[in-house]
Amino acid sequence: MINTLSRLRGAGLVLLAMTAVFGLSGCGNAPTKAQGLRALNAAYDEIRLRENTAVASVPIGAGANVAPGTRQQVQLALKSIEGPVLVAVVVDEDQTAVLGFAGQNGPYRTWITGSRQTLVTRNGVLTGTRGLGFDLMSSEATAAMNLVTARRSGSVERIYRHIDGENHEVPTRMTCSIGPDGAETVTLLSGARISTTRMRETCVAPDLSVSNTYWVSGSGQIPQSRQWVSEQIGPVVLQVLRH
Amino acid sequence: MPEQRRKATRRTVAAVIAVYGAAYPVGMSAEPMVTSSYNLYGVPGLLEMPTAENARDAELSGSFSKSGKQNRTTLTFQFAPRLSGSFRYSKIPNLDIDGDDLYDRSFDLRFQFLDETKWLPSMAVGFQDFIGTGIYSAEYLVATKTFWEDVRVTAGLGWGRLGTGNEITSFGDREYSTDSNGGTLEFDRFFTGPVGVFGGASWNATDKLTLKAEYSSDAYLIETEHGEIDIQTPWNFGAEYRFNPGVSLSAAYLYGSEIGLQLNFTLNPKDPLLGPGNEPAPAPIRPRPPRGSDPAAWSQAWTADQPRKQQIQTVITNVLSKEGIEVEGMSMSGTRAEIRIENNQYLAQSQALGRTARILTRALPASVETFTITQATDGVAETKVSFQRSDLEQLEHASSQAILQRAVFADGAGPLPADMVRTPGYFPQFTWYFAPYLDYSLFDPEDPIRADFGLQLGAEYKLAPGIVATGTLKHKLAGNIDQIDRDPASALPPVRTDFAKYSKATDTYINDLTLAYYNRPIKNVYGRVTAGVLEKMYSGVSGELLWMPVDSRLALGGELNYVVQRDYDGGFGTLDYDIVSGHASVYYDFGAGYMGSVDAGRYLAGDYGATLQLAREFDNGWLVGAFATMTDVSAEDFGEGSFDKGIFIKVPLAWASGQASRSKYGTLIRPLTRDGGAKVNVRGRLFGRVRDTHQPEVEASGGRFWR
Repeated sequence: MINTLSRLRGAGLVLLAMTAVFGLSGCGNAPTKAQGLRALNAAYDEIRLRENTAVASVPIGAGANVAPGTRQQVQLALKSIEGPVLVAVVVDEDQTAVLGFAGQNGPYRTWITGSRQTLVTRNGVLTGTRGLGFDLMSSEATAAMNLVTARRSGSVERIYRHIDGENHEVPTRMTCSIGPDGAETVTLLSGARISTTRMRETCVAPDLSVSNTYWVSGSGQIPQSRQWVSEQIGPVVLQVLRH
Repeated sequence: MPEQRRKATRRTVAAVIAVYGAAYPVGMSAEPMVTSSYNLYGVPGLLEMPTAENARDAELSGSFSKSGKQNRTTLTFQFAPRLSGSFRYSKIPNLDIDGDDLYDRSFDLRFQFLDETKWLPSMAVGFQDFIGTGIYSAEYLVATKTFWEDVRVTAGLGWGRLGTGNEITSFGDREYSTDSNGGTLEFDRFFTGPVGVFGGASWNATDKLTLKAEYSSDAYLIETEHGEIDIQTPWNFGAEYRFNPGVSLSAAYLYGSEIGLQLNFTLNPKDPLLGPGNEPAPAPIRPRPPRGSDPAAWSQAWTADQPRKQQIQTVITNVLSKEGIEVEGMSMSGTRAEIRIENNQYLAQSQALGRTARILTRALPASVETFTITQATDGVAETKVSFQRSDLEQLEHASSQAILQRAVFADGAGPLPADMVRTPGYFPQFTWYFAPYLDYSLFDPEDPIRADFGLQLGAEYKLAPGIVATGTLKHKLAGNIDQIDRDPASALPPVRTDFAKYSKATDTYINDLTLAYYNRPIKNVYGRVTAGVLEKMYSGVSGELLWMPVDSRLALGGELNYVVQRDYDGGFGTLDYDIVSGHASVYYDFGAGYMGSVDAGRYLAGDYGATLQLAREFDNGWLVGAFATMTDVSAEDFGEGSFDKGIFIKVPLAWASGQASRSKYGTLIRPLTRDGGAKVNVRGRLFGRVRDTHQPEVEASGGRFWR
């Protein structure tokens, strides 16, 4: 499960105070009554889970680490999940998830974890996430994707959209320079080895600079990538284990 | 100083503000001067002196401070980037008439009218304790300038309390005597009397530590007279330490003889505690196969297949129910489908619409192109929103604006479509809850915080569309509200000041027990009739109409009540006080998060007047506002406080927990409970009930559509 409740440590105290305010709650089946304690408990559990997750991990490349034993879990998942399989590592949290295929809408593929978190990719370029909290709502990345998959250099416009604390979608218009950065043979968690061209994308906006790295195969596919989600979540490393 | 000169100087002050205000209008691109440091009065500032700084926009702070022997508890809200308001409750020892401790409530306002530029300082004008009893009353003009990035230097002129020391000139005489009732705005007093000069500096030594020094113009005249303080110097020194962005502690050495301490908590409604929400991902849109490649999938033959239609509806109903969205009924034809939903899960109606639309694309046959989603509450339709399925398919991964621009909003009033198949067993619906409760009474001089704690059992029975029976039974386990011993002599019928008698008389009581009928008499109009035990103190009948078009920022309403005061024992008995009350209301959404309303009419004590309410709303469900009611009751008859006023706050549970929920916690703080300007409390008032589904609100939270 991907668990990316960032910036939570300071929230514990406030949450305790909120429990005092909202916590007067009990039982029943009324949808909007007496649910304070339940919701705050759930929030508290998520914080605890976040804080207590073991951090012992092994590197898998692209700057990401996975917990020992993940390889075996991935092998199992490859056997039990039918169809395409994606592995995602939230780098800052050392959290790994195996995602199955949830649907395709035109060029967009939606991948889903067992705990109903989703990632959306377009030809391997991440354009959305859901269920992570500080999600990437959508991204206009057609021009970037075209350069990356063609392994060409250039500068393009790209829009990242996030949601803020007031339910407003906040678009960030970025200028991205894209170019090759050498050849590399990628070893996937499934054991497959693929020779790729490493493509770097650096995007800048007035107050923000982010970078993405794509390992692009000879056929223009992206078996491995490290892509930015949001300021709070940071980058995820993706490996497409089965197309 | 002669009257003319006094007027002239006041005109000068006003002119200075006007000139600066015009040269640097609010809302220009320059930034207001922001600090996270609060003074011992709980407002952005030095130690006892204010500065021309603001808190971050929308910041809400609660500050507990001790300045010598005085305790001050202050709530400050940065209502707009350059405008803040504060409410303060203070304990000033031995200063009341009989040498008792004085408990004082005060309100402040501050406006920063000039932004800092390279050469000019930030400037603000402030009114301290401007409608209280006046012990803290002061006005000031203050300038603050930043040097070397982390030092800020402040200089100001103070009137009133802030003009009692370091006098440089005088604007005539000032009426210092505190008004025994308080609560009156005394414009005549503003900027009169001696003018004191104050100043100081703050240095952000590190990210967490701020050091401050100031030269105070508060001579503590009355306190000195009473021998409560020994002022040896106007110089004060202090330090503030920030544990994290929400908590700070300050200590100060004041006037060469006193210690000041302060604990300050801040939060910002714009920043949900746990981010924008951790609800599970929505189901992806399922696009249809192109008509050319799979013509059979586009056939409309399914419309004649009743079992299949029924199965489709059952699947949709079950899947949405798991998302907390209840389906009341559906109608389907070859190319259109209408679904009537009640959202019990998501605070943002847009999110419920998005999730419903997603599920419809996954379950409805390909020939259905138009989806109409009617949002309802208790079976009464509010706003309906129509989408083209092709748009949903095309725009799933685009901005939320793109899809909302194509959505068509319309009033859902009118009879149920003839072909709508109701979800079997949707009515009657019974829900209940059992939970502890906490009631409180604030600012009683004997004990400023009193509370009752107990258990409550609530139930709701929806008999048919729009017909709802609701009741709450409460049982007090512990508390001290019944010990309130004040019998504030009131020239009015004791329509609210009687409240403690209810706590004294019984521990178990019917809090409310009503039968309500909600309906849509005509397009754009909502109706409500509620009868029964309306609230803790009143039984009766209440009727209401609200005109509120789907896309309107303006709404108009009217309410008429006949109520009888309940007996103290919490049963069905009544006292011999009954009255017809009611008001006409205008609600207006100014945009940018500001909302106002005016209610004019007759109040519980038979007084006539109007309530003005102004609130800052956040699209995540937070609400912070203030209200004031002026009626034909004179200030003397009203008693302490002179008129009814207060502040209110609403906090959504989703904001605090990150979990999808429609629950909100609301609180209303009245400095005083009096009998003038009082209204009966009725559940289900229409504006708050129906507004969320209207176009401006759905669009305001539109960012959650694809979530």
